[in-house]
Amino acid sequence: MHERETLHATRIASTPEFLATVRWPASTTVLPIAPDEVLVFATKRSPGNAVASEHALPEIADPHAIVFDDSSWIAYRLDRSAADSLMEHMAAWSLTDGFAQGAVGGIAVKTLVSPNGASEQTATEPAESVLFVVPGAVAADFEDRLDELHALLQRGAQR
Amino acid sequence: MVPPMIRFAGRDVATQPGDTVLAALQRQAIHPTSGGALCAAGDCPNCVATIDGVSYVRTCQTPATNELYVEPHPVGVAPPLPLETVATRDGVAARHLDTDVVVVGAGESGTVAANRARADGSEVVVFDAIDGHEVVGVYAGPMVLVRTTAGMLEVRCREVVVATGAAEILPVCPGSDLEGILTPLAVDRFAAAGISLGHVLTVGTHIDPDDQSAVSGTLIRFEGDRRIEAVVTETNGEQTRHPCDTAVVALGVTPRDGLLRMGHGLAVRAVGAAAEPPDLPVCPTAGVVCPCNTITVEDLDTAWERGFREVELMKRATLAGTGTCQGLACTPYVQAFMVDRGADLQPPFTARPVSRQLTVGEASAGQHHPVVPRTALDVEHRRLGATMDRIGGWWRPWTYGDTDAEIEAVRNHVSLGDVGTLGKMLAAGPDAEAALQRLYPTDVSTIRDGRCRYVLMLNERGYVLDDGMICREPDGDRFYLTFTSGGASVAEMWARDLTADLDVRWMNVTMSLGAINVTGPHATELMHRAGLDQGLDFLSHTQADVAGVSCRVFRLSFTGEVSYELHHPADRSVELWQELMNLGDDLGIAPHGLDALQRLRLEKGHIIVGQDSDYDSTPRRLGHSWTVNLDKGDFIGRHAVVRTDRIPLDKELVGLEVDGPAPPEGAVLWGDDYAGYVTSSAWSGSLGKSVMLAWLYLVGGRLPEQVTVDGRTARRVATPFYDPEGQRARA
Repeated sequence: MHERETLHATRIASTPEFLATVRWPASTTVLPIAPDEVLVFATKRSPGNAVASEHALPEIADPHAIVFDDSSWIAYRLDRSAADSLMEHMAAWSLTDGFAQGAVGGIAVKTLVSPNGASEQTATEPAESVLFVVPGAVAADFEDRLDELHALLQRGAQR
Repeated sequence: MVPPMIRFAGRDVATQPGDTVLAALQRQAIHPTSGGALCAAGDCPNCVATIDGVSYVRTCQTPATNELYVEPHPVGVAPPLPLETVATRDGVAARHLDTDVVVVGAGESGTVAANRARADGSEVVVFDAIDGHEVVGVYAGPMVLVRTTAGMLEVRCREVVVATGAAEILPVCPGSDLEGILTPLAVDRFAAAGISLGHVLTVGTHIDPDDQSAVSGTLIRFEGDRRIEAVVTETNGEQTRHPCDTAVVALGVTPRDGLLRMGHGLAVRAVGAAAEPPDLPVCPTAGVVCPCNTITVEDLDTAWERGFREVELMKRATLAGTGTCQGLACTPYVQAFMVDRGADLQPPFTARPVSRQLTVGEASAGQHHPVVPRTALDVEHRRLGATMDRIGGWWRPWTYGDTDAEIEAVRNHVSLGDVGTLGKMLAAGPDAEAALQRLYPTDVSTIRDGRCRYVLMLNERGYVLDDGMICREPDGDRFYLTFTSGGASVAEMWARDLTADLDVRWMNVTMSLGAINVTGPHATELMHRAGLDQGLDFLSHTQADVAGVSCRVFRLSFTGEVSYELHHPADRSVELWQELMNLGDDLGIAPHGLDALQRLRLEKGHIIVGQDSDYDSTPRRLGHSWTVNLDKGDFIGRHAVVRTDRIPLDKELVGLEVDGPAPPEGAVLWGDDYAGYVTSSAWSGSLGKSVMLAWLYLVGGRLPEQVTVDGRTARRVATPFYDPEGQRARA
């Protein structure tokens, strides 16, 4: 099963050179979704939420940067075995530590796995899980893929 | 546990533990097809049948482990499609795996290869069809495609080792399609299964010297009526008839190297018998060479005489090698035939994936329909009962059930439309204005802060790529751009590629923002109720709270009525929509779908790029020269526009009207001559006639005044058809 959560994030577009120099707070997760753009959201889990809504941003010194509050992304947290199963069945690539993006079931997906196998650093919860982030416009399709996998695994178990 | 029964052609067949379907049938003296030599190794096409609705299944490779329904293929025609069973089947699972080395074949040479690779520290996966893992293709990568009982498996690896051994050569001579002919391996397997074979004779060129059942001489023919009764051999010109119940043919082997040949140029190698050269059989003088497609020696002769003198050409001329065995049976004989006729020994046919027939489910395993994005209001549209359709790359509401009523709401009351599909981008930076000056033919420097302008985007040839709005932010060096729903992705690539040398930041916010069009004579009143206190001039925009939601509010019009486009965070779309519907309840508010919008914009003569424009539509041909400013300096497409402006106009997008119902979009005639085509056509209730946009060719420098559309007279008229002065939109 999966948790669905609206990601309250900030997108920042600037030059690759500037983005490389920003020192992001430890409490934020930064996904470098393009050379000139990052997606930033809070790292720590809130009780009952996959992703916290509050996140701190450093001062963006590039006066021409585009800083855009964006709540259109949807995050799904899957435990590690479910995530591996999803990738095994629907992706021609494997999860890697940290951030990656690619097609899962034909949908452009961003994944986040921390180096120790958990999805995010947290002091209280050693979460063996992976965060899958998709645009809200295709979230329904991604959920179809998750349901499809669930049905597939159930059929396999019945055999 | 009692061994299961299988059902063959309507009769029950008992099985024994360890049986394949073929072994169970042979025990009852049943041949699964109309005859032909059996190899019992998955190489020949002579045991394939339809099992549980799936055709071309090799019965020799199918364990008789549960109740199976086996039907023989019809003779001479392809088996019927499983239309009744396919709809009830579950999808076939696909899985992906990464490893270092894939070894195909778990026999002696495969085991040696696997052990060596493991000893070198490689991760090794071994597949063997006998274990239910049938490798059916090798692709670039290399990537190996495996058919398993649990679905399809795609394995990416560094190296593929083909250890598939060799196939025994089948006989080609008159009578080779009789029952009771076996290869040596098949005899061993059937004997091990306790199957009585009667009086057995062995014949051929590669007979084991210790074989007590061997008969000498060259194989000439098999005799019998449906089942073999005798083998005829020839020695020193004299023929001898040898009565028997079963004939074993020992004619040598040919490597099973199809996977190796598929992997030509890739990290694929063969070991063991799969890497050995083939035994070349004696060229046959008569009989069926290709049992899959019933290609005879006479067919090869005909092709040879017509000049098909290469193996690949022979394959195309005769179709030998294109059947279910993919040439394993016929290739040695085609090679022998061509050598006999004087050609050099040629390599076997090109091998391509897949090596076995897959079911539609197997072929489509892991594939999905292309994803069609949904706006944040998708759930709301469906809740309201809208008919949804995929248009412009998005799921969109076509109608909420009564398009005429939706148009009525727009023209006389107020209506909401979901325009969240519009492409939306932000541009900022020191060179942002310069970037837009390059990308658009309008003079961006004259767009004042807080103002919007309709623009075309041209390619280098001066043809229209897309259209939309440029909106300058109040702080001057930032811009908000819109594009067509289907053109946003291309427009983004276009903008980024062609301004890569400039200091500009781009952000595509198409999926991040919802957009609702509030349109109709009461739109301003509704906006006032929703909290928009400030007046907003036509073609201007501002940031404001509307019904408690922070919106970028644009005063535009695509419908021809007063309109406000509210671009807002997508996660607030449903809330904003529902609140506006509540606030407008006594104003006669109703949502409108794309069907209504298409008609409304057509009454205004607004084009839809991609529908009304063509690949060669210039601004002048579209009647949009007013969007081009040649005095502002260079822009993409300028040179082409300047050049084509010197050429006499040859066609133009014009307005047409007819009395009565809307004609279908299609050809326009002038007299008996083709004069163009209609791109948009709709009945206009507001105007009491049908209106169209159409391409018309100029004749003698003039456009025809009257033409024929769908057999009816259509008049050319100026656009807009509705409110030509634009007073309603600007009210």
